[in-house]
Amino acid sequence: MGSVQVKRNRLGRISQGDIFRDVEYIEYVTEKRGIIEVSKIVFPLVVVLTQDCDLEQNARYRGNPTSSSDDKQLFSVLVAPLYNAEHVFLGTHLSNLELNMEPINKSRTPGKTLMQNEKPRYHYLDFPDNIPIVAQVVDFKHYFSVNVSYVDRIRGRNFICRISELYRENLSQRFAAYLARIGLPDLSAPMSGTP
Amino acid sequence: MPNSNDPFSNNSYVTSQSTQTVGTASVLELERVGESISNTTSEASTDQGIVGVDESRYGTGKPRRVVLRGKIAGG
Repeated sequence: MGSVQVKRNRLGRISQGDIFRDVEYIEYVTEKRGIIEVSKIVFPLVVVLTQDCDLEQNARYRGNPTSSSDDKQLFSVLVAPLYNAEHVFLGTHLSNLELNMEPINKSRTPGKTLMQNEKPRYHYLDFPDNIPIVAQVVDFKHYFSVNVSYVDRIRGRNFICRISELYRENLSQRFAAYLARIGLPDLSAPMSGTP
Repeated sequence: MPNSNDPFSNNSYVTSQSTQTVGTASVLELERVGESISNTTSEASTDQGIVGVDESRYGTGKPRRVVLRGKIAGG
Protein backbone atom coordinates (compact mmCIF):
# COMPACT_ATOMS: atom_id res chain seq x y z
CA MET A 1 0.00 0.00 0.00
CA GLY A 2 1.60 3.21 -1.17
CA SER A 3 5.07 1.68 -1.19
CA VAL A 4 7.73 3.81 -2.77
CA GLN A 5 11.31 3.46 -3.89
CA VAL A 6 13.79 6.25 -3.34
CA LYS A 7 17.33 7.13 -4.33
CA ARG A 8 19.74 8.36 -1.72
CA ASN A 9 22.02 10.50 -3.86
CA ARG A 10 21.04 13.92 -5.04
CA LEU A 11 21.54 15.30 -8.51
CA GLY A 12 23.56 18.41 -9.22
CA ARG A 13 20.34 20.38 -9.41
CA ILE A 14 16.85 20.48 -7.95
CA SER A 15 14.91 17.50 -9.24
CA GLN A 16 11.25 16.55 -9.24
CA GLY A 17 10.66 14.13 -6.39
CA ASP A 18 13.44 15.55 -4.22
CA ILE A 19 12.53 15.46 -0.56
CA PHE A 20 13.95 18.24 1.60
CA ARG A 21 13.70 18.84 5.31
CA ASP A 22 13.06 22.08 7.22
CA VAL A 23 11.75 24.13 4.32
CA GLU A 24 10.45 27.57 5.21
CA TYR A 25 7.25 29.05 3.87
CA ILE A 26 6.90 32.80 4.34
CA GLU A 27 3.38 33.55 5.57
CA TYR A 28 3.70 37.32 5.57
CA VAL A 29 6.06 40.22 6.00
CA THR A 30 4.71 43.43 7.48
CA GLU A 31 6.27 46.76 8.27
CA LYS A 32 5.03 49.44 10.63
CA ARG A 33 7.09 52.48 11.55
CA GLY A 34 10.31 50.73 10.75
CA ILE A 35 9.44 47.54 12.60
CA ILE A 36 9.52 44.51 10.37
CA GLU A 37 7.68 41.33 11.27
CA VAL A 38 8.20 38.10 9.41
CA SER A 39 6.10 35.02 10.00
CA LYS A 40 7.10 31.72 8.50
CA ILE A 41 6.11 28.10 8.76
CA VAL A 42 8.87 25.53 8.86
CA PHE A 43 7.81 22.28 7.23
CA PRO A 44 9.77 19.22 8.40
CA LEU A 45 9.57 17.56 4.97
CA VAL A 46 8.46 18.64 1.50
CA VAL A 47 8.58 17.01 -1.92
CA VAL A 48 9.29 18.88 -5.15
CA LEU A 49 6.45 18.77 -7.68
CA THR A 50 7.69 21.11 -10.41
CA GLN A 51 8.12 19.37 -13.75
CA ASP A 52 11.60 17.93 -14.01
CA CYS A 53 12.21 19.23 -17.53
CA ASP A 54 11.56 22.76 -16.27
CA LEU A 55 13.98 22.23 -13.41
CA GLU A 56 16.57 20.77 -15.75
CA GLN A 57 16.35 23.71 -18.16
CA ASN A 58 16.38 26.20 -15.30
CA ALA A 59 19.59 24.67 -14.00
CA ARG A 60 21.16 24.55 -17.43
CA TYR A 61 20.46 28.13 -18.41
CA ARG A 62 20.47 30.00 -15.10
CA GLY A 63 23.49 32.22 -14.91
CA ASN A 64 24.87 30.82 -18.14
CA PRO A 65 26.65 33.68 -19.89
CA THR A 66 26.37 31.96 -23.25
CA SER A 67 22.59 31.77 -23.02
CA SER A 68 20.88 34.25 -25.33
CA SER A 69 17.94 34.83 -22.97
CA ASP A 70 16.55 34.04 -19.53
CA ASP A 71 13.51 32.39 -21.02
CA LYS A 72 13.96 29.13 -19.12
CA GLN A 73 14.56 30.64 -15.71
CA LEU A 74 12.16 29.75 -12.93
CA PHE A 75 11.11 32.04 -10.09
CA SER A 76 9.86 29.33 -7.78
CA VAL A 77 9.65 25.64 -7.12
CA LEU A 78 6.33 23.99 -6.40
CA VAL A 79 6.37 21.71 -3.36
CA ALA A 80 3.89 19.90 -1.15
CA PRO A 81 4.35 19.07 2.51
CA LEU A 82 4.78 15.55 3.81
CA TYR A 83 3.06 14.86 7.09
CA ASN A 84 3.68 12.02 9.49
CA ALA A 85 0.96 9.54 8.49
CA GLU A 86 0.12 8.65 12.07
CA HIS A 87 -0.45 12.33 12.85
CA VAL A 88 -2.68 12.63 9.79
CA PHE A 89 -4.83 9.72 10.92
CA LEU A 90 -5.20 11.39 14.30
CA GLY A 91 -5.84 14.78 12.75
CA THR A 92 -3.06 16.34 14.80
CA HIS A 93 -0.42 16.96 12.15
CA LEU A 94 -0.99 20.75 12.22
CA SER A 95 -1.57 21.08 15.94
CA ASN A 96 1.51 23.28 16.34
CA LEU A 97 -0.17 25.76 14.02
CA GLU A 98 -3.31 25.59 16.15
CA LEU A 99 -5.23 23.89 13.37
CA ASN A 100 -7.50 20.95 14.09
CA MET A 101 -7.72 18.57 11.17
CA GLU A 102 -10.34 15.92 10.63
CA PRO A 103 -9.23 12.50 11.94
CA ILE A 104 -9.16 9.65 9.44
CA ASN A 105 -9.87 6.20 10.77
CA LYS A 106 -6.83 4.16 9.80
CA SER A 107 -8.42 0.78 10.26
CA ARG A 108 -11.61 1.52 8.36
CA THR A 109 -12.45 2.50 4.79
CA PRO A 110 -11.32 6.16 4.93
CA GLY A 111 -7.85 5.23 6.15
CA LYS A 112 -7.52 2.23 3.89
CA THR A 113 -8.48 4.14 0.75
CA LEU A 114 -5.99 6.83 1.69
CA MET A 115 -3.20 4.27 2.07
CA GLN A 116 -4.17 2.73 -1.28
CA ASN A 117 -3.86 6.18 -2.87
CA GLU A 118 -7.49 6.26 -3.85
CA LYS A 119 -8.19 9.60 -2.17
CA PRO A 120 -7.35 12.32 -4.72
CA ARG A 121 -6.20 14.81 -2.09
CA TYR A 122 -3.58 12.58 -0.48
CA HIS A 123 -0.58 10.55 -1.55
CA TYR A 124 0.58 7.92 0.90
CA LEU A 125 4.28 7.07 0.96
CA ASP A 126 5.43 3.96 2.76
CA PHE A 127 9.20 3.87 2.62
CA PRO A 128 11.25 0.66 2.49
CA ASP A 129 12.60 -0.71 5.74
CA ASN A 130 16.13 0.45 4.98
CA ILE A 131 15.00 4.05 4.54
CA PRO A 132 14.70 5.81 7.91
CA ILE A 133 11.57 7.79 7.16
CA VAL A 134 8.29 7.06 8.88
CA ALA A 135 5.26 6.66 6.62
CA GLN A 136 4.22 10.00 5.19
CA VAL A 137 1.17 11.56 3.59
CA VAL A 138 1.50 14.24 0.93
CA ASP A 139 -1.42 16.66 1.14
CA PHE A 140 -1.91 18.12 -2.34
CA LYS A 141 -4.24 20.80 -0.98
CA HIS A 142 -1.34 22.34 0.94
CA TYR A 143 1.04 22.81 -1.98
CA PHE A 144 3.04 26.03 -2.03
CA SER A 145 5.92 27.60 -3.88
CA VAL A 146 9.37 28.47 -2.62
CA ASN A 147 11.97 30.67 -4.21
CA VAL A 148 14.20 28.65 -6.51
CA SER A 149 17.38 30.34 -5.25
CA TYR A 150 16.40 29.54 -1.68
CA VAL A 151 15.97 25.86 -2.51
CA ASP A 152 19.27 25.84 -4.35
CA ARG A 153 20.92 27.33 -1.29
CA ILE A 154 19.57 24.80 1.22
CA ARG A 155 19.46 21.67 -0.87
CA GLY A 156 22.97 20.53 -0.02
CA ARG A 157 22.28 20.63 3.69
CA ASN A 158 18.59 19.74 3.71
CA PHE A 159 18.37 17.03 1.07
CA ILE A 160 16.94 13.76 2.38
CA CYS A 161 16.38 11.58 -0.68
CA ARG A 162 14.53 11.60 -3.99
CA ILE A 163 11.63 9.52 -5.14
CA SER A 164 12.60 7.12 -7.91
CA GLU A 165 11.23 7.33 -11.42
CA LEU A 166 7.77 5.86 -11.97
CA TYR A 167 6.93 6.50 -8.31
CA ARG A 168 7.77 10.12 -8.96
CA GLU A 169 5.64 10.16 -12.11
CA ASN A 170 2.83 8.55 -10.18
CA LEU A 171 3.02 11.33 -7.60
CA SER A 172 3.20 14.02 -10.27
CA GLN A 173 0.30 12.61 -12.25
CA ARG A 174 -1.91 12.34 -9.19
CA PHE A 175 -1.08 15.93 -8.21
CA ALA A 176 -1.94 17.16 -11.72
CA ALA A 177 -5.20 15.23 -11.61
CA TYR A 178 -6.03 16.74 -8.24
CA LEU A 179 -5.49 20.26 -9.53
CA ALA A 180 -7.43 19.55 -12.72
CA ARG A 181 -10.50 18.25 -10.97
CA ILE A 182 -13.75 20.01 -11.67
CA GLY A 183 -15.41 21.30 -8.54
CA LEU A 184 -19.14 20.90 -8.68
CA PRO A 185 -21.40 23.00 -6.47
CA ASP A 186 -23.01 21.53 -3.42
CA LEU A 187 -26.65 21.99 -4.36
CA SER A 188 -27.80 21.49 -0.80
CA ALA A 189 -25.69 24.41 0.46
CA PRO A 190 -26.69 28.11 0.40
CA MET A 191 -25.84 29.78 -2.90
CA SER A 192 -23.95 32.73 -1.38
CA GLY A 193 -20.48 33.22 -2.78
CA THR A 194 -21.16 31.53 -6.06
CA PRO A 195 -20.47 33.58 -9.19
CA MET B 1 -15.50 37.13 10.76
CA PRO B 2 -12.14 38.36 12.06
CA ASN B 3 -9.39 35.81 12.22
CA SER B 4 -7.15 36.30 15.23
CA ASN B 5 -4.31 34.53 13.45
CA ASP B 6 -4.45 36.82 10.45
CA PRO B 7 -2.37 39.98 10.85
CA PHE B 8 -4.29 41.58 8.03
CA SER B 9 -7.69 41.07 9.60
CA ASN B 10 -7.48 44.36 11.50
CA ASN B 11 -5.85 47.71 10.96
CA SER B 12 -3.07 47.37 13.47
CA TYR B 13 -0.62 46.39 10.81
CA VAL B 14 0.58 48.64 8.06
CA THR B 15 1.11 46.95 4.77
CA SER B 16 3.36 47.81 1.89
CA GLN B 17 1.46 51.02 1.25
CA SER B 18 3.50 52.75 3.92
CA THR B 19 6.72 50.89 3.42
CA GLN B 20 9.64 53.22 2.91
CA THR B 21 12.53 52.49 0.70
CA VAL B 22 15.57 52.42 2.92
CA GLY B 23 18.23 51.68 0.38
CA THR B 24 20.30 48.66 -0.27
CA ALA B 25 22.82 49.47 2.44
CA SER B 26 20.28 49.19 5.23
CA VAL B 27 20.68 46.43 7.75
CA LEU B 28 17.73 44.47 8.97
CA GLU B 29 18.21 43.13 12.45
CA LEU B 30 15.58 40.61 13.44
CA GLU B 31 15.11 38.79 16.66
CA ARG B 32 13.08 35.66 17.13
CA VAL B 33 9.99 36.61 19.08
CA GLY B 34 8.00 33.45 18.97
CA GLU B 35 8.04 29.86 17.91
CA SER B 36 5.31 27.33 18.25
CA ILE B 37 6.02 24.18 20.17
CA SER B 38 7.41 21.42 18.06
CA ASN B 39 8.12 17.82 18.83
CA THR B 40 10.57 17.56 15.98
CA THR B 41 13.24 15.09 16.81
CA SER B 42 16.85 15.67 15.98
CA GLU B 43 17.19 14.91 12.33
CA ALA B 44 20.59 15.10 10.77
CA SER B 45 21.26 15.26 7.09
CA THR B 46 24.33 15.27 4.92
CA ASP B 47 25.19 16.29 1.40
CA GLN B 48 24.74 12.67 0.50
CA GLY B 49 21.20 12.54 1.73
CA ILE B 50 20.30 9.85 4.17
CA VAL B 51 23.36 7.75 3.48
CA GLY B 52 25.26 7.16 6.66
CA VAL B 53 22.75 8.84 8.90
CA ASP B 54 22.14 7.18 12.22
CA GLU B 55 19.07 5.32 13.31
CA SER B 56 16.93 8.43 13.77
CA ARG B 57 13.75 8.45 11.79
CA TYR B 58 12.83 11.35 9.56
CA GLY B 59 9.44 12.93 9.28
CA THR B 60 8.37 12.49 12.87
CA GLY B 61 7.87 16.19 13.50
CA LYS B 62 5.13 18.67 12.71
CA PRO B 63 5.16 22.03 10.95
CA ARG B 64 5.80 24.94 13.28
CA ARG B 65 5.47 28.69 13.04
CA VAL B 66 8.36 31.06 13.64
CA VAL B 67 7.90 34.81 14.00
CA LEU B 68 10.78 37.22 13.65
CA ARG B 69 10.58 40.90 14.45
CA GLY B 70 13.10 43.66 14.20
CA LYS B 71 13.75 47.18 13.10
CA ILE B 72 15.40 48.63 10.10
CA ALA B 73 18.75 50.05 11.06
CA GLY B 74 20.68 52.59 9.05
CA GLY B 75 17.66 53.74 7.09
